[in-house]
Amino acid sequence: MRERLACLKYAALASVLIVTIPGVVTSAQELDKAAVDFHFTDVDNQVFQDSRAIDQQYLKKGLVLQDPQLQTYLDSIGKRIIANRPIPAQVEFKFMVLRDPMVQAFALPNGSVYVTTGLLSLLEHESQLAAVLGHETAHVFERHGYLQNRSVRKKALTLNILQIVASAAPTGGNFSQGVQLFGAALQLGTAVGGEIIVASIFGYSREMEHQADSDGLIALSNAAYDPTAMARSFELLDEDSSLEYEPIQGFYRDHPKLTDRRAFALQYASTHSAEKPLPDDQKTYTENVSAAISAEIQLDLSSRRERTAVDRSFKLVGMFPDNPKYKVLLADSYRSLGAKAKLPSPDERSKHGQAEHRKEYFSMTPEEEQKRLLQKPEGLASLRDNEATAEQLYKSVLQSNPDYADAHRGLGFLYEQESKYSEAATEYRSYLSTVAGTSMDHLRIERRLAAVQKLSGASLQSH
Amino acid sequence: MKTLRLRLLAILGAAGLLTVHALATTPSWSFENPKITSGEFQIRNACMMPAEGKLSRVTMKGGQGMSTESDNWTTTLQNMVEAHLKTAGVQIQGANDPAANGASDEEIRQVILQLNQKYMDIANQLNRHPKDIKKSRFTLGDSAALLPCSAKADVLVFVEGEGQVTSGGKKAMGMLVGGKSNVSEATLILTMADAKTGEILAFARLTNAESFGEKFVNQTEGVYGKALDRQFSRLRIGTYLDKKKH
Repeated sequence: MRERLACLKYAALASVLIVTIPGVVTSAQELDKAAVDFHFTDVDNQVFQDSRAIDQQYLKKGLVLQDPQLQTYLDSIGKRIIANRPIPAQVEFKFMVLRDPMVQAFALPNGSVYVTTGLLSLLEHESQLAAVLGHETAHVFERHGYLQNRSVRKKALTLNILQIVASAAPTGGNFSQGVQLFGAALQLGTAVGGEIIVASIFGYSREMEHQADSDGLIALSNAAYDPTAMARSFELLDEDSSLEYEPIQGFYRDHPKLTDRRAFALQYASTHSAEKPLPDDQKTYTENVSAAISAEIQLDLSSRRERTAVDRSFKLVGMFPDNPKYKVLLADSYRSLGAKAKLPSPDERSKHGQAEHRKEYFSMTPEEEQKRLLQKPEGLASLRDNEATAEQLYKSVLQSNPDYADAHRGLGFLYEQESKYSEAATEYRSYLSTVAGTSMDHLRIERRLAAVQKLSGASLQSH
Repeated sequence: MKTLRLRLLAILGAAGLLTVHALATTPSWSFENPKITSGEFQIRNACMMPAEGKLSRVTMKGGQGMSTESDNWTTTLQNMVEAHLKTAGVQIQGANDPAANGASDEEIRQVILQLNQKYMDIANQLNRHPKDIKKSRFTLGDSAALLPCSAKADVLVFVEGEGQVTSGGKKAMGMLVGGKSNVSEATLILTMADAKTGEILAFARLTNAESFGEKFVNQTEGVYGKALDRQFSRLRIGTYLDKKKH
């Protein structure tokens, strides 16, 4: 009797779940309808408040890059992309650049659209940036942030209930074989149900991404940009991912497969090319986003992404060969590479190589990684090449601008690295006399000067 | 029979109280370079990096952000650590303080950002092998000296807090199905780096787990205050160094 009651109790629970699981997993198909019928609930208001708080946090921490030329440029593209579409309630579109080396872009439900310095440095043309903004603004227009939050909440609740049911299933030795079998079946059912729900969370997200791509392509065409730009931006994302090992997977890696998205974009572009596409040259784009690229290079150098730093500064120098600032950035990047090769070797690009790189990244400090590289002849050769290139670049800047302080400083660092202490001291002195105490770096350089003077005295004595 | 039942109840009650007490304590560990504990490197002046506090709520309906609460908690953590350092006789400066050399707020913010980036970068190894602080293995590099406060400061102090507030429903579920979800917990991480060379000199973790309530949010001082003082005494910071000498 007791066993029958237990079975009935669990059968009732199981039937409730059988009814609820399909309910939570089919909602992905109703995206369009959900956006049209959208009404704010308390849960959505909380998400809205959180979005505003995130905006304030970014500003407070200085993560939002403030550059008038870049901001005007970004705003103009953003406005063009959202033109002629009714702005949804509680949305105010703002386009901002986030100081972050990760290649990503995202939109908050309140209309704040962020593109990272990492992404801006990777893209080549204005139309590619417009494609990104088209994709991100689509998330806002379609209320994806709110809908995703609602969906995840529903599914998390179901998952938790499943867990409770599974833990209470009658599986102990006190029950008869039949009841135990029923309990095991119930546990299996809840486990499978859980998997289905987890998969549906990702499926729902993929559905949203697909819709955002589709809407983004339409917005791109309407704004007279070449829609093939979206396909090219996916190619760039794919190519760049092998340059560095990424400890945190970038946002775009979580999206549907880049190859599928590229194919979809190309298919759309084949039938929707703009009659009079906007002028879209690489130099204008690079000039307008140069502040972001410069900031990005500094971030790359602080976060062990020297190869990316070389790649990005190379791009700047290629476009503007006479700009001393960019040349110094390129020289700094080569100097920071040390014993690392400019590009990953085929072995490093392999699966095994990537795994090794990952292991090194987590187990070694940058100094230890350099030491390990220097134990190999290739490492020594890379160091020699990188240092020679850096020196040549610094010197070429000083040839045309003898008072360019940053070049003196960089050269000082390089000579110190090479144990050429008296040369380093000379460069540090030149730096200090040029900046005359107005630089944030004068204290550090004064300390370094004192140290290399001591070392150069010691090395003279030893000679 | 009645006495036996009462005795059983008393034992169960005492065991319950002990469990609650054990779960609400603040266990901590720290690693430091012998330069500090020996008194060779003295900490009398500290430059506070902007604290980072992050709270999240876990409910039956999944995770939720607590942006406003996180903001307030960040300020509380920063103020608390500063107050305890001051009590220990350490002079405090803010990493954001205006520069004598005329550097703009934006320039200072960018240096802070870069230092935080470097800190995050070495955190991978630091969290795995904190013992290696004794071997001077970790450094932020001398770009620490770019901060105006580093001219006078002995150390840069990084304060991080990460807390998870578990809802009543989720805690009840945790008790039913087992696992870690039946507590709210928070960790306060304190890192000190040489303000001149950037070398990491001390790293401490203070963890607090509570089955009932989330005192670490509203009664932060009560939860971490004593543990902080113990850490500072252990590190022989400020006047603790003089006390030991005598």
